Amino acid sequence: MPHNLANLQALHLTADDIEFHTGFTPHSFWVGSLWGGVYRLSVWRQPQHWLRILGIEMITLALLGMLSVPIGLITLRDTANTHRFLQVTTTATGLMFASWHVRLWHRKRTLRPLMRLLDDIDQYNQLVETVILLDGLTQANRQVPVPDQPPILEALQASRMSLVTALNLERLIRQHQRLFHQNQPLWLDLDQALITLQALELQDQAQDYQDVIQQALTISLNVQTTVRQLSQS
Amino acid sequence: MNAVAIFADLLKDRHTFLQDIHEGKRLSVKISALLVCSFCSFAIYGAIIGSFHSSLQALSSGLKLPTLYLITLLVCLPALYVFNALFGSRQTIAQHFTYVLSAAAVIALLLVGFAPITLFFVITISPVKDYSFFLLLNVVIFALTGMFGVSFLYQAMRPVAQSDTDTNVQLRSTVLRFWLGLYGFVGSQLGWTLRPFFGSPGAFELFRPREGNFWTGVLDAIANLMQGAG
Repeated sequence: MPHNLANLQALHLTADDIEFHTGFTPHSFWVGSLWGGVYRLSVWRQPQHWLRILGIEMITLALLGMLSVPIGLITLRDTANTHRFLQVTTTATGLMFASWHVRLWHRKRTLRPLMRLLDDIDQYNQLVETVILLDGLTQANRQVPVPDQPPILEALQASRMSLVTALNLERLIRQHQRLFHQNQPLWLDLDQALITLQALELQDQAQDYQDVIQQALTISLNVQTTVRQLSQS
Repeated sequence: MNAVAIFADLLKDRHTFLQDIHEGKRLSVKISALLVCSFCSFAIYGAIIGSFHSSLQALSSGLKLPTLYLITLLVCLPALYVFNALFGSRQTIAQHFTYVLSAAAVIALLLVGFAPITLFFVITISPVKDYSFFLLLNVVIFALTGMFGVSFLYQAMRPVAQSDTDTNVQLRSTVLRFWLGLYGFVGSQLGWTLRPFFGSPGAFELFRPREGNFWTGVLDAIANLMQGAG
């Protein structure tokens, strides 16, 4: 029986889903708002985003420059000494820009596990796309034997569950460090997803779909590692 | 950070956008997006009016115009929040900031809409002979866009009763009207301090010497006009 496209589409982890579970709005190169957000870790490996980074740096510099104008205006109260005004605003802007970068560095350290999970989510969404594509190809070519597909859906659902659980755990650790170890049901969900995927991997599948299950398992293992590291840190 | 998409939401689906602010949804993302987009829009329009004089004036006005609108907003925001809170509003300062920033974004967007017209006049008129005409044209544009922005803010922030016992709705409406006047008052003084924006014929100057305030300037201008007529 071919997959229902709507079912497959629903497996995507959208930006709204991620925001709901983490409290941060994710983008391809940035997470969160301008003041409280941070660059994605993967952005430094993708040259196509470097121009955007430059754009964010320039806009932040300009906004901070604007905020430093009132400080500079103090120097203009008695004289129209524009040289002094420029000195003061440039220094204030530089200091604020440096503070913003320190904050960025601190947030990068705090949100490192979330960044790793977001990279895993990107990988997972690509996997869902691959399954949708394979499903479309199978339906277009009726001569190709249709593999037993419910296990694929099951694998993706298990992978999705492990990602969502990990996002919830990460938020819990970030916000309520002390309550974290009391929240056993989330840990059980994570383990259950992995057991499901390992069981599916042992079943005999068509090669394309075997790769999908293998990748889903890899994602879930990465998620497990990230969450274990997070809980030990 | 897709600031443009959020900016577009304000245009296309204003009702949902304002409802989200009312419910306190994604405020930090909205604030960032509105701040970035309105800054860029004001900077573009500022650069165009400054280019009437010189490229240095374009650079200067490109930074001064966003400063004028956004710093005025920041200066006046605490007054609005404190008075509203005092008279029963349950909205946070972040919600207040998002509302007023939305109004600034509407003004910025309208100015960008007028930008091609202003640019057309920059290209086709003489910077020396037609300085007064250009000044007047922009006064009309700023007044028009300002009126729309103020009307937007008034509609968006018009107080509603938050409970059966909330009897301060009328009072909060008065506070909002008073605040809009205050915003204009502070804005005119900051504009006076940051001038020139257009750059009168002659050499470029970053700031003009401080001579009184906006209102003494207006009174002086009226007095000069009366003397000329007399």
